[in-house]
Amino acid sequence: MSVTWPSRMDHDTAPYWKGLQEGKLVLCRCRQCRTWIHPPRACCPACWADDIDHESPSGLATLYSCVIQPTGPGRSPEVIGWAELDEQPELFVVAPISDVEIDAVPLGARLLLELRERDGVVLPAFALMAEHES
Amino acid sequence: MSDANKVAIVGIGASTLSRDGGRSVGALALDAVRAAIRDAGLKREQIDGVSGIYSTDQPTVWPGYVVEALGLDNIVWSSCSSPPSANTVAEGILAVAAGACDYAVCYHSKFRWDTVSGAARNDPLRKAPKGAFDPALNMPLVEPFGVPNGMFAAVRRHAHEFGTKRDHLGMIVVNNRTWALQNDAAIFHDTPLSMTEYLAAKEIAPPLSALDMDMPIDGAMAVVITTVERARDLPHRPVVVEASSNGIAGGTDFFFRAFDSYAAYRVLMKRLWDKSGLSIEDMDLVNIYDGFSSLALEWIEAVFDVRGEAGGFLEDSWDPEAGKLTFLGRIPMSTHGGNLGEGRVQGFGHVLEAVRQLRGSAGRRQLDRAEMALVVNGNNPVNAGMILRAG
Ligand SMILES: [Zn+2]
Repeated sequence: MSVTWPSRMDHDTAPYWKGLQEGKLVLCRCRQCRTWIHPPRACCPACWADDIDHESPSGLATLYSCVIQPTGPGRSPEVIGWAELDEQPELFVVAPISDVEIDAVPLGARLLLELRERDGVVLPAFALMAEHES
Repeated sequence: MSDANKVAIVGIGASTLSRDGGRSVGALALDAVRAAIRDAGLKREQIDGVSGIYSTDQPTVWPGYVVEALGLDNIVWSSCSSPPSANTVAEGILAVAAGACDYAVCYHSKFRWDTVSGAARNDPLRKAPKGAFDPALNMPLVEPFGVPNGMFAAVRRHAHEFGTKRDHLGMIVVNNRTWALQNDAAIFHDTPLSMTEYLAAKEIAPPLSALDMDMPIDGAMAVVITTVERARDLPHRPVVVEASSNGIAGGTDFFFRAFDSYAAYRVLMKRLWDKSGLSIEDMDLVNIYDGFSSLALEWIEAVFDVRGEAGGFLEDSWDPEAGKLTFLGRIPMSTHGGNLGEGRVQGFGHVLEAVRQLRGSAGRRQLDRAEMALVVNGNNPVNAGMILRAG
């Protein structure tokens, strides 16, 4: 298995990648004021505490925005979404939205986190929730 | 406040702007810098400050290159800043205002690296250096997904929240392309664009088409800055800096949170108005950054204080016959054609055009009244804005 990602890892992002390896999405969260922080940072932007924990969010999110991303010659483009996690306003995870028509991406749609293997690494993705689930 | 303590732009210069000028990125910078120093009526010995745009992801050269290549042997102040171009102009303004140097030359040079197009890829003279640009350290998190551009997500969000349509972006694009027809130096000086053609263009990053993205070129520009007092001995009518500012706010990460540009622009604009005591009503020209048309859209909201209403505001300002925008019944936008029409020197053209209009040397596109101009460049968190006045 050839591991392509991540290209670079540092003290702040290692727990994120390690979590994915173990099959979980873990994000930084301040132990002092409970602010969620993503992308990973060593210090809480709200209270400046260095006391950073790593926790898994619920996986529930809303599609805030997206782009249609080319994937290479001969391959169809995919939708990359900005999933705003239910945990906190503007807490975004950027990840592919599975099984969605690129011409009809519903901003505001409810999303559910799923982890998918891609190029030998487990990465976040989101699926649209069915009406009755949301 | 009298002009005594103010600084002014006293020289402007540009290289040719083209798809392939047959000159290196370094040579283009030297063309622009020499032209600006000559235009200011200065000798090289008098130049004692130099600032340029330099960044590892940008095909440009740092100040040392320019200093050595042009034999500027009297430099006591220098600086590198990130794009956009107004940033390096702002640096020069601050340096002269602070007395760190007397005559600053500020430049930026752009070049089509092999990363910008298929044609450039096949040109062995255009290889980009190895090395990633990742100033917020987040790129690995989105690399598996092809590094999607947060600015494209931002315009989608804007459309979703505020009902912005492609027609609105089209008014910005067509305005700039129409003005470019009156600018012989513009890359699109002979290529008109109608709204019908704009709307027919393929959306490569919906809702943006290639026409919404600035045109990569080989080209460099420069200015010379000194105090208003020294400017009196120089050949041109000085263009006085009334205020200059940056603005950073909220989410600044291009990948994760590129949704707060408007907030940053408001910070910048508030500072410009507060420091200058002026308002938008005092402006005769607004040169608004258009790296993407969607960036111009949110700048317009911030400049005219019409958040979420850019669509209607543009409709009210749009003349479909002329293919141009006129804000508040009299203020044109980007009379040189902007990045979209003149070419991509990342906003430097916006500065030079303001100087030309305020000097009264804009030729066949000269405005009847051009006493005061607003220039804004960039996005969040790299930007600069300035108010310039005919001295
Ligand atoms: Zn905290």
